[in-house]
Amino acid sequence: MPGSPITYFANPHIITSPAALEALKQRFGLDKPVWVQFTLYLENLFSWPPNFGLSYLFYPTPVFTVIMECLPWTLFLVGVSTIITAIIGILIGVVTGSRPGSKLDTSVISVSMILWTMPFFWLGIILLWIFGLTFHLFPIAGAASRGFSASNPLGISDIPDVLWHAFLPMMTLVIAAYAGYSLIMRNTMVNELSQDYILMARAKGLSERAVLLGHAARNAMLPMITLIGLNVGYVVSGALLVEIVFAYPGLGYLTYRAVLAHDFPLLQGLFFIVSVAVVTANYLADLTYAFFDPRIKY
Amino acid sequence: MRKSELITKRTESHEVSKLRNIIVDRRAQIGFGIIIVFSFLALTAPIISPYSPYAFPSPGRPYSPPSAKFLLGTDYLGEDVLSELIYGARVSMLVGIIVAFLATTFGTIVGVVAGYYGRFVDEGLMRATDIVLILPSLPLMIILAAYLGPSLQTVIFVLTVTTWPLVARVVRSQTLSLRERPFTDSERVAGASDFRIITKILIPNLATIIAANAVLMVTTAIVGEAGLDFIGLGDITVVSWGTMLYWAQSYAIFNGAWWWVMAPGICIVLVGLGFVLISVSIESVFNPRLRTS
Amino acid sequence: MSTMAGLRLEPSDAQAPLLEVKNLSVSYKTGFGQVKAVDNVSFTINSGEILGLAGESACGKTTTALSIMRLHDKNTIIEGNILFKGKNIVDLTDEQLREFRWKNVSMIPQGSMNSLDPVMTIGDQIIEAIRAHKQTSKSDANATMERVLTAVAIHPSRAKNYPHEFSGGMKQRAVIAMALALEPQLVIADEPTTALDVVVQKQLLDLLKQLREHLRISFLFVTHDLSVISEISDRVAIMYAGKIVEIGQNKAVLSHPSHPYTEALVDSVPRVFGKRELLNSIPGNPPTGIWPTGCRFNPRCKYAFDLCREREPELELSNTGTMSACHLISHPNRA
Repeated sequence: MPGSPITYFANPHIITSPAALEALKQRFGLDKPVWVQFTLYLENLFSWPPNFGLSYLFYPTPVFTVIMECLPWTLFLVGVSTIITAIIGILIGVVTGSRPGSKLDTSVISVSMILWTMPFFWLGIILLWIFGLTFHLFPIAGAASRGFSASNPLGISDIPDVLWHAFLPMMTLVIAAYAGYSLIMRNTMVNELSQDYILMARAKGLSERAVLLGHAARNAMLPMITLIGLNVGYVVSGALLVEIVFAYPGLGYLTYRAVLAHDFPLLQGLFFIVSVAVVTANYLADLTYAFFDPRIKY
Repeated sequence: MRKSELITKRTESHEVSKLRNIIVDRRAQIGFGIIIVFSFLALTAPIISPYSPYAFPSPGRPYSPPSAKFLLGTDYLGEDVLSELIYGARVSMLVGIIVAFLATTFGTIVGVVAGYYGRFVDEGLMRATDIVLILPSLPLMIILAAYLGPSLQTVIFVLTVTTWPLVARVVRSQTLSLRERPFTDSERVAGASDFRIITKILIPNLATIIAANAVLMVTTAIVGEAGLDFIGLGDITVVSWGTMLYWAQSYAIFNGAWWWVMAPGICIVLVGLGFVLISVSIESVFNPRLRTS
Repeated sequence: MSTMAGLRLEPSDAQAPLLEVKNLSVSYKTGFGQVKAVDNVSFTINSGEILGLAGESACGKTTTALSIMRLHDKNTIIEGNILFKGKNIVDLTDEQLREFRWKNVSMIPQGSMNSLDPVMTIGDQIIEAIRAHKQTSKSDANATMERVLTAVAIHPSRAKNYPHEFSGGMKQRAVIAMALALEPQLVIADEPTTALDVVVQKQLLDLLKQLREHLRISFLFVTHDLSVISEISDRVAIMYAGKIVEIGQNKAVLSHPSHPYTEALVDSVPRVFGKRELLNSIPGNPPTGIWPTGCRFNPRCKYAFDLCREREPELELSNTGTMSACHLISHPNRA
């Protein structure tokens, strides 16, 4: 493979003796035929805890351990921001969808489109600069003020501090991603409001609020659930970039460092874990959808 | 439909009037305007740009704020930010358009073939697209790019690979519905070959959806390219809006060089918006209910 | 207008009519200008009476029906007066309108299959209608809901089903049950039988007749199907190109039509008995938006003479007791 990990270590400034080189090769199993390496790899993958090998960057810590230390932070970031983004996006969508073409609608759409095209990380840098550096309202890096590790974990008393640190990264994610929900919710609302059962609801003498929320929005929400599932990959990608900007110790920042260090085992492990997480999220979204739509049987 | 039927007969064909609607649409006008301006900048970069962004020694002092000499200030090396912006337009827009073109072409072919021939061909092709669709795009791109080595070609390749499946899916579902329409059957009965059906019937009808999506894809590609550069997976020796932000991320903040950070970002947003506006305009002309005017 | 007074001379109940539509005109704002879908239409419905409103597609009958409950959107202009028990509906504020709907007048819309919210149970949708207008307890509303469902021959245990779990006929009956929940005095039925097979159709018509008998509910029955109209209506109004061309007692209108259009419509219904003959149809198409000068039917009318192309006829008393808008009534020698 190009960029083989050995060439990294085989830098003459680090390893000079061929014997040592040979020993390293054996250690990492790189001297065996490729197909054996692959079988070994799969075996390791499907055991528990999954053995992704040792990280180069954090040698000799196993990749899995490294990932597991950072995973919770990303889950926290992505999970909470997804919920907030979905709620805000849906609310905005309902309001604008019920009056398409109005001034409110057009201005919201314009603003949303601008925010939507902003790269996640650029928005992060701006927010960091304004609120973190210039106004010193929020911290500019890390997840907590004091150092922490597996042996010195954070406790309940650290929660306000953690939230304070998480605020800017989450704001970035919410601002950059809400438009994905609001624009589509708006269009779905417009479609639903032209359906026959809405006419019926109005004919029944229901208040406009009951028609909008109780009927139109309830139907329009269903595709949103699927959308949340579909967007998880997108939000995760965004979160990775945002973590880099804020030096937030999640998987994104880890990936950044892994790329810089050519730490392939770590990268492979990361890719695997993140993919599994996203696929699981999608699956959960499908299940949730089936739960809410009476027309689907699972 | 409860409303009365419309009265006047249209004197021009459907398609021509739709095209006219797009051109007249304010959003499309703004969008096209932006794109034309930036394309002009990109194409005439060596002529228009006040300095070369690769100039050695650099023309100005590092981190100097915007002034008459350097309209957008200088970066950490003292290079003119405005020049970097103009040259960067070349790379960013080129990458965006190439990726959109490749992904659209490949995706359309796959989608049409899958939708038209159905069954096993469809199953197989859709498995392939699903694999890519399910995996989150950025991690996938990172891992591919990390193995392929940082370069412009890597970026283009990686972006195309993660974008074409969506096109294929959309095109496939449209093809499926078009295939069931009577006019396809009548062509087939008249003895038209598959190729003829695909090119004469399906493609023209798919044209709108393809166009609207392709335009949107340029935006995603440009933002994606910026993202990859930002992480350091692009060719950092080439000046693009993404690589500008890569360097700016490390050096701009603590040296107060806000112009260096704002300029490439604003350009990305503007160009992205331009394409999004065009895409939205195309979509709303063909689906009147979504209109906002 | 003096000829409108003639409508009051009909031989029905002496008490005041339940619904009086006077000079109703409805225009839609479209991209091509204003389209007048209903042009100066007037009729009455008495309590306990079924008025059938018949005509070809796009003649304005659904638009008229929707106007009674003011269900059009902001792009539609309504002129004229609609009096329900003396109160003018056109003047009602939004809040009054909401209260008025369903309690006094309810509707069985066209395509009832789609008129039910797919993610809400049938029972809940009926209860929703009840509780929007009456301050009742949950159990009382529930009881009412079960009563109306039973009245349309749906077992109350099915109230917890969703619309997609019902057949087409059942959905139709569920909508009828919902329409009856507040015991309105007038029900507007817009093509309720169109999507049903003849067996279910008959059941439905019988049900409507029963409702009229026992609960003294009036119906405005809109349809293009003449055989259904003749079966169920007391009085019939025929619409063409946005205007009423003939209105009167069922038998008078349908068995002895005074207006050429009515005659042509009746003629075009295929006969089951008797000898086989070629189907009669009315040549040409109904106009949409651009009306011919003079009588709107004149291009397709086999009796048309020169006056027909110059002046629009007004509704006049015909010799069968119906009101008919045809120059032949005052110029019988030109037939």
